[in-house]
Amino acid sequence: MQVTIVTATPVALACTWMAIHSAAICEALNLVGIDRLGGLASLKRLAVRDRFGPDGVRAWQMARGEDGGVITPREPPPLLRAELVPGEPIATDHALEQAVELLLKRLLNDPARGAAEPRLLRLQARLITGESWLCEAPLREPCGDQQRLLLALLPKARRLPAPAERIAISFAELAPGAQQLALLDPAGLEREQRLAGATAQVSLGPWHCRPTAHRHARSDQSSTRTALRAGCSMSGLLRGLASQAPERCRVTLDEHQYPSSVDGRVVISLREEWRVEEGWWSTPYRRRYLSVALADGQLQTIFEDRRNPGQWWRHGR
Amino acid sequence: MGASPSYVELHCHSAYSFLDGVAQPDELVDRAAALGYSALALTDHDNLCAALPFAHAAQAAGLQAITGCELTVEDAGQTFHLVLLAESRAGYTNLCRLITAAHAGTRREDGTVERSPSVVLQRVLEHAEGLTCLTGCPRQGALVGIDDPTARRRRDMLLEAFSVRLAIELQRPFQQGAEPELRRLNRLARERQLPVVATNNVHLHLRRRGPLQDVLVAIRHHLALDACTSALRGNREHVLKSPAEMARLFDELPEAIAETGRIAERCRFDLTENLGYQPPARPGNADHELAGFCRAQLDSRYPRSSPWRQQAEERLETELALIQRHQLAGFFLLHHEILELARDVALELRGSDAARNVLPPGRGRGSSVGSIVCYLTGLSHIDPVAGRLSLGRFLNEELASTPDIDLDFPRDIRAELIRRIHLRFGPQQAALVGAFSTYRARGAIREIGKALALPTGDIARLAAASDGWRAESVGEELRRVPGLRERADDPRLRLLVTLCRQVSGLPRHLSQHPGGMIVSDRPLSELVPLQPAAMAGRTICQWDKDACADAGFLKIDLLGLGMLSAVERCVSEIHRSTGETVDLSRVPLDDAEVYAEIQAADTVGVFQIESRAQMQTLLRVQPTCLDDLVVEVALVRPGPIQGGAVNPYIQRRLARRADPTVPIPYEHPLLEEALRETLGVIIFQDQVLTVAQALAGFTPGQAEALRRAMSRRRSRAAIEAQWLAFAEGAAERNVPEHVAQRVFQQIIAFSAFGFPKSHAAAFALLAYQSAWLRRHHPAAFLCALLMEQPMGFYPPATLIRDAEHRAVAVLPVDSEHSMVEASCESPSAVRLGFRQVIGFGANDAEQVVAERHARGPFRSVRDLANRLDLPTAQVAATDCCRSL
Repeated sequence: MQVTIVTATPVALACTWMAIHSAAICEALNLVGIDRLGGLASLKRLAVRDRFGPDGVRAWQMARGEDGGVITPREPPPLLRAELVPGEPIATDHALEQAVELLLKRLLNDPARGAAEPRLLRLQARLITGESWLCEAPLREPCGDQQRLLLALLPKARRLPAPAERIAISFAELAPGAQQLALLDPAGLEREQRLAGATAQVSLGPWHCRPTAHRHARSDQSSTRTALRAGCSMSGLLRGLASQAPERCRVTLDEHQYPSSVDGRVVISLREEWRVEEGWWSTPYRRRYLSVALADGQLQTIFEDRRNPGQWWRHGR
Repeated sequence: MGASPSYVELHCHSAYSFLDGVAQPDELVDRAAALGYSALALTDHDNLCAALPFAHAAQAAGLQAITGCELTVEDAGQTFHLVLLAESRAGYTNLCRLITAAHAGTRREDGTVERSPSVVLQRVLEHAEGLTCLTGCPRQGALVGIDDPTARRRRDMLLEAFSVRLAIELQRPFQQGAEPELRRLNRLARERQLPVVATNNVHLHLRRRGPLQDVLVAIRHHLALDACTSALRGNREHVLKSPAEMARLFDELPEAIAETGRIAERCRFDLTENLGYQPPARPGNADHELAGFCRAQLDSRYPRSSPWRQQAEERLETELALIQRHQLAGFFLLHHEILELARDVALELRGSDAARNVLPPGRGRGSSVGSIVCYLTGLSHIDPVAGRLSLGRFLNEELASTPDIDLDFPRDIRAELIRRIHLRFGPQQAALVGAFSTYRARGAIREIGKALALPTGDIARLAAASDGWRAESVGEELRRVPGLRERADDPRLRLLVTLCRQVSGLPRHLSQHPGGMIVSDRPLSELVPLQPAAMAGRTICQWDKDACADAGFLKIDLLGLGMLSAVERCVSEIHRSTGETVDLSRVPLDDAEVYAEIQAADTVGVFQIESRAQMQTLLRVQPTCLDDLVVEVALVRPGPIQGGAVNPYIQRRLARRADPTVPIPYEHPLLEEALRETLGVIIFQDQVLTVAQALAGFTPGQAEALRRAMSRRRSRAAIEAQWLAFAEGAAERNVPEHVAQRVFQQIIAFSAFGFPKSHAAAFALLAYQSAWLRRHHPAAFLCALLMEQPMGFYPPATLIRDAEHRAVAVLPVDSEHSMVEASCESPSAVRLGFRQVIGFGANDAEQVVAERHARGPFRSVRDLANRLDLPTAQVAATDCCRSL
């Protein structure tokens, strides 16, 4: 074997090129003034072996052009190409989309593809003006999802500068299939949703703690979040809230659907009524609140859960 | 329903309260009519944007429309709301003035928003005449905190100005704390013997639209729903309730219900009546002036020897008679005056550039191109007699509204012309027509997605995958996006789909019409509220083009046409690089080389005929003259395509080319004359009129009404009424019903969008001129297209590749040789300019070129960075320039 030593190549470059991932060898060689490949090659084998071990010997051999491995030629990937010659030139965006979709479907169903997925899409067209046209859509990662491929290729395909008499798509580069990563970590999302749900339940659930309207409920929500952020224990928080949780109560209504008694105590006046219908985007709740004065002199806030008509709840004792 | 007929809702918001209402005006009217209302007020926040469509819809439904507004008022450092209702014309005028005053000064000189609209209380008190004042809602009304001295002073001032026309507004929104407030206001009213009036501060026409209202509020606050709950109303009680329900709610205050009826009785001002608009008056007899001008021009345009002279004279007399009959002479002279103004502007802008000065400052488009008066006054550049253009679409005996004269200008001339018109007629008497940006798919996905706190990546992917137009189809698009389609049943994504569907078409904000201006002989702010536009020095009115037309305002259309700018740039570039002056009005219209390229569909970059669909048709039609191009331009449009005209036309044309004696099939012999030119199919919009006249005996006015019924606010009822008249007319002419039906279907199908022949002729000429420039001056043409980007069908890369294919050398950006824009280095070489560098704005590019001229070339990127005050990104961008 004819050995040609490229003496001008820096050792670090050589090491990189030779795929020896040992920065220590390069540094040590540099320290003794060997910063060229030729310098490494001119050392004695035994000296290199004693100083750098098997990695050093491998580097020395490669620096001298001696590669003991068997060279295996790369197997060219199969050429995956699908072509369409429509009866009428493809002119409209709609026709173009359909053609691209059809060709992608053909290519993805081609058994020659195996488990490989395209990394580079190439669209070639023969235009009615007699010219050819080509565009490429490289993908960030190999992908076998037809919709994703469409999304990548169509914007470029729409630049087609004239109607196409013939159109072809090829998978110009194939790579082993990669795992399709979700934008968000599903576990994280789920955890986030659980936490949001728990927070909402603490502050707004049917066993909600405060005898006030939605505006107060909102401040509860934010204070709960603040408490959680401040590091309060969840159990302590729940205990505190539960002590004020609403209780079911019996309410009798008059003919105008206003309470005449609460838990057997007569209502002597209705002070205020308000309605709350919120949270439809996460935890929906609909309530009809009433502030009533009872015969025993107590003021009581009660509400009807309008998602379960007839169920009345009382705040405080 | 009839239990409490006296209740009238006097405080009601539509979607034109912009992000604080969900109902279109006609939806409100329909709902109010269904609930048994006799009258309804529309009181949007600080605008009258929907007042006119609301008034028309109410009139059609037999409902009394009350024009009003919830105005934001400022006093002693506090802002609050007052509901003002117009009782009379004077009241309406005052309302317009107040809204205009509220918007004055809301933008800085550079057009950015400085503050929200509000007007000082003193101004309101000075304009109280003819207005009824309600004190506003409990949360933001004038009497909030009535126990403090400022509020008491405010109450006394309002009472003094409005006297008995002031009423204290009572609402029952079922919110905690509202009831004590109501009792306090009622007590105050009794003490001062003021009338109380019940309102419901309506923001919804249907309860089920409550979520959408919440979302719009969240969008307005730029927050997710979870984060803005304090800004939400908390329930859906602000819906339009029936009079009976309102009477039940206020059963202990019947006088508050009765007062609504009394106020409605007082507010009899009808916005649909004539507002007294007049265009700027002209001294002397406008008819004589116009006729004299046109007759003087006739000799130069149609010399005695011209074969068209006789026809031109006859046509001119016919048109002048029609113009006199409809009193439109002032209208034509006004447009002529504006064109003269444009000529001055063009001279100033073009300066000593002799090449551009041979070009007219603008040119006509649309149906007005068919008018010989427009041709003679310079408002059109197409000879309507030689081009056999019809007039009926533009002017006829039974004209229902003022016709439109559309004028195209290069972009730079148009921008300056608009400013100059404001100066000529006065800023109070000229304004741009408004336009409403409505929610479409992408905007809806982005804004509603944020409000629902969807992950940003999901929103971006869905928005990118959307077609960008129909927000109704977001659900279908969602099912096509990988990563989202698997979660299509996620509750929040389902909400997104539903809300996008509901928000589709609702107005987002007021913007300016592409080119419409109105001018008046009196301050426009007495007729319609005005507000500053986003572009400095411009004013827009709060009505869109349809409302302006309904109000009888004269609209001048000054449109910017990118290709016109490109053609000017091209002529200028040819002159700069070669010294040659191209007069486009003198280029031969039968250049075989140009037609050869057109026939080969080699038309990338050519005006109107560059799209792939056009190319495909060009190959089959093989245009050989300008008339063919006129058809070609009009052929590939939604109207002819949906009307099924394209393939029959092409097949008949091919058949005729092979054998000129091939007979053309017509639906009925009566249509032969109307459709001979287009081989038996409807291609031009004005053929709709001639077909209706020929087959059903419609008068020009009836035919125009048919066209309008199809094109604008198309309603089934209106089209059915037209069909009855059409069928009756056809039967009188012994046309079989199935034939009449088929032709009518073709007409209806055509209504999507089509060009009148006159418009197609104007565009075809520009298409030919651009093709001529492309053929004979390809480098300059490429420069012009690159300078005027964005425009046309193809991105710059495609235009460059096409030019290279045509032997134009495209040289890269070079720090020593490039100019701000692309420029011709030789007749066949284009040097790209700094503007073509990604990230480089016009200012940056100008800075680089100016510095190079002043202190010599740059030695390196470092040298450039040291000598110029450029942001890092722009400095990095220069790295791609040669010579650095």
